Amino acid sequence: MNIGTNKKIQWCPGCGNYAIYSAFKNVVERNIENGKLIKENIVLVSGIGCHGYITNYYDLNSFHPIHGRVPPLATGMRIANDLLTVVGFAGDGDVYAEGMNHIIQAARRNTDITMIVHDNSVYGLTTGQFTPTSPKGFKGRSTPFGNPERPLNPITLMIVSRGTFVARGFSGDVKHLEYLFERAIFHRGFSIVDVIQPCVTFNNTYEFFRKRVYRLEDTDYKPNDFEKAVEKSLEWGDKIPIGVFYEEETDTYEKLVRGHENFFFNRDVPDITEILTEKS
Amino acid sequence: MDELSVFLGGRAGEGVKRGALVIGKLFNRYGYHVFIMDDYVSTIRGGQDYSEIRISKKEVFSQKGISDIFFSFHEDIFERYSSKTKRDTVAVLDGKGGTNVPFDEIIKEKNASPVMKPSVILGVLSYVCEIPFEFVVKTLESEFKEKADKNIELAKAGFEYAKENNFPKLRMERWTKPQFPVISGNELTALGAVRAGMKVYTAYPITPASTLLHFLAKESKRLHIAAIHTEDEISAAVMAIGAAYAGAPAMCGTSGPGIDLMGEAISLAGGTEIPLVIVDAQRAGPTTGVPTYTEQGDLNLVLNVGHGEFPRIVLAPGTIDESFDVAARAMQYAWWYQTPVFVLTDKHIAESTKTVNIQFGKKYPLPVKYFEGSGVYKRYQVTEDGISPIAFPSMKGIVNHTNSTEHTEEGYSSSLPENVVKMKEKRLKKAETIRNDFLAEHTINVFGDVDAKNTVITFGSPTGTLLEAIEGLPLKLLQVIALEPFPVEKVKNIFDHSEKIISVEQNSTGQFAELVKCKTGRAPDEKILRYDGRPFDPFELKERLKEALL
Repeated sequence: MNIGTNKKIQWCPGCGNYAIYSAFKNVVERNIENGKLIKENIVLVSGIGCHGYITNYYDLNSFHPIHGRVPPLATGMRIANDLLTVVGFAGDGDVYAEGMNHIIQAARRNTDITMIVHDNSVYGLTTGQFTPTSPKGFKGRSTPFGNPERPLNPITLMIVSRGTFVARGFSGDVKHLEYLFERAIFHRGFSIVDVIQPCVTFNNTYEFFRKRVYRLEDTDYKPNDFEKAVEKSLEWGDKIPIGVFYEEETDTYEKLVRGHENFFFNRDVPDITEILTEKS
Repeated sequence: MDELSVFLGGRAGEGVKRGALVIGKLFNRYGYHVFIMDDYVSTIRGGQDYSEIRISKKEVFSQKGISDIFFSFHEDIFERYSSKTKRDTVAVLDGKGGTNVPFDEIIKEKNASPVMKPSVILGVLSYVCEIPFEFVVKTLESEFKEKADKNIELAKAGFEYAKENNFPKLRMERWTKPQFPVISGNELTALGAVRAGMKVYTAYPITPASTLLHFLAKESKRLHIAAIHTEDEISAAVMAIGAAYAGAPAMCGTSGPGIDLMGEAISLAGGTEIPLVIVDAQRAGPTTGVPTYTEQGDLNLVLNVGHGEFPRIVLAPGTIDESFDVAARAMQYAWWYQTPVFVLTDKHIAESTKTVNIQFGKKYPLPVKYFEGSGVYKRYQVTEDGISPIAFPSMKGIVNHTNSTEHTEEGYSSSLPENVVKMKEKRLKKAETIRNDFLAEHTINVFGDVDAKNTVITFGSPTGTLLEAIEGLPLKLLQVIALEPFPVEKVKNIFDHSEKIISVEQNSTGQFAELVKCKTGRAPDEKILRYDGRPFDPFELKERLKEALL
């Protein structure tokens, strides 16, 4: 099984996107082989930015739309056809700037989609501006005197937005990414993996993070308590946790809005006589 | 009397809108055609709302403006709208003496809610118009089900009061029209789309499109659809695109401000070749404007919204009745041509209500040019007509790469100049196919004196009013349904046999007249515009047409 395509990958050598690309590839190939995923039912959605090209590199259904709008697009697909496994790739500019509204709504709705965020705290494709996750003081092309804004904590944001699977990954730990992606894909409901992914050209933070990250799975932390998860998400300093911060199971949005209808497979046109009779 | 015009005015919370609908249904049941226009302000409490209910032996498409009987629960409403009365209008206000009715007193006495005041009116009308009371009973039973009794009691009180006080009679004989649905433009737009296979409707609340969402949400279980209230109009359009990509016919709806926000998604649908129907129920702009009043100011917007160049179709129903067919056809076009299609209505069509007798049973199949080949699927395969075969996720062996970045036939990103040209020309080809196909489509209506040497040209809601206004005038009425692609030859052909051309539209700049000029090379000789947010009425319009003909 190989879900790669013959398209030449156009990321900088050493880019964190490669780790995300291969971890996801391994997980999907493994699960297609063992029958847990069906190839034609997988749909990938990618946002705008360097990561967005990722859909060119997988031989899977895909939709590469506009900046920030990955969550509602993915939600529409899930409403249409319950068989679909929908995975959205997006950048930190995508989901925490242009489309922050949508990611919060998708989390609180518990739409059954997986979001993988290529969080490199910089706009790479537009050559190096700050994003909502860049630290205060970050010098980019639009902030030559330093970023005046305080950074956003995506993990806290997603937990308090009632996301039902919230995790952080690090592109320096591919094995762990595979573990997180697999769990996120099979989570029933909204899942997000915010992947700390250094940009080797504009914001190379490999060394910074390599020294600090540790796996929550190596500790006795249990991701089943909302308040503890919020507290844990605030840990950011000499030690930076990666892994699953929070997880719960509850009704998915699309089940609530369309019941068991499958609008792709059932296109029957309803009779409207009864409604018209009541109107007269 | 062959015709009766009823004015019903009150404050929010006094059931004016629902009351007007029930009065309409009473006369529908009694064999008459009905047209109801609701006029309301953008406040929840304290505003003055009114409805005009026009009742006629022949089909009517607009309000009359002048009432035969004027019900108002408050003195100030009567004063404000006294221009809608004539010398012999029967004025029924809250109070005693003359033709007044003590509405408040009756409501208190019967321990009812002010929202039920219109039921008292039903009783008064039953006496005044000599409609057997059983029609009132049946109407209220069918409307209020288990809550009917209290309303019937109130109607009886109204009837008795009118009788005891010897109210003047405006006798309406039992008429012969069968009972038809009394339904709004928004509801018909919804049902038309559903009959053509729509499964997902997405919208963010906005006047005057909200009632479309409300109707579909209420009926979603019976219609087996999803009606979704999204976080904003951007999400509404994008979610509909996601649903369509996955194979569920989808529509989003809004008013002008929402179209502004949907712009990038509309461009997305155009560039990625996704079937998408967008309803714009126009209201008076710019910006927040006059949110509960009507205008046709978005014509240029829907003709141009979305950056870049891509094929689009813009259709405007001219009457409430036509909304059904136009919405259904919009869905068909969207799915056949895989491109955005607009349904352009306005408040006067979207939120007015009438008795409608159309072919509700008509079938609107949704043919789709499916991929039937084998081997590698090319989402953007270059074809003779510019339409690429479509295939969806979940189809065996299919990999569908849909891509907003300029793409190869396979859907992979590519900015190579020869590829850019190839894809642009593919979309141009599709636009040409649409233009050619539309020569045989129903894109105009011609009414009135077809041999007349003068032509009045319009689109959208003025059509219904014009149908009446042109009666007896040496005019034919040309209504354009397809604003894009514009039916150039059909319109030119009529212009070639026209001495004078008069355009009618509801905006201040004459966008439609400009479009006509640009497409046909001939500018209308006279422009009739109205832009106070209020729809044309037939008498005013007739006078203005006479002036224009001089």
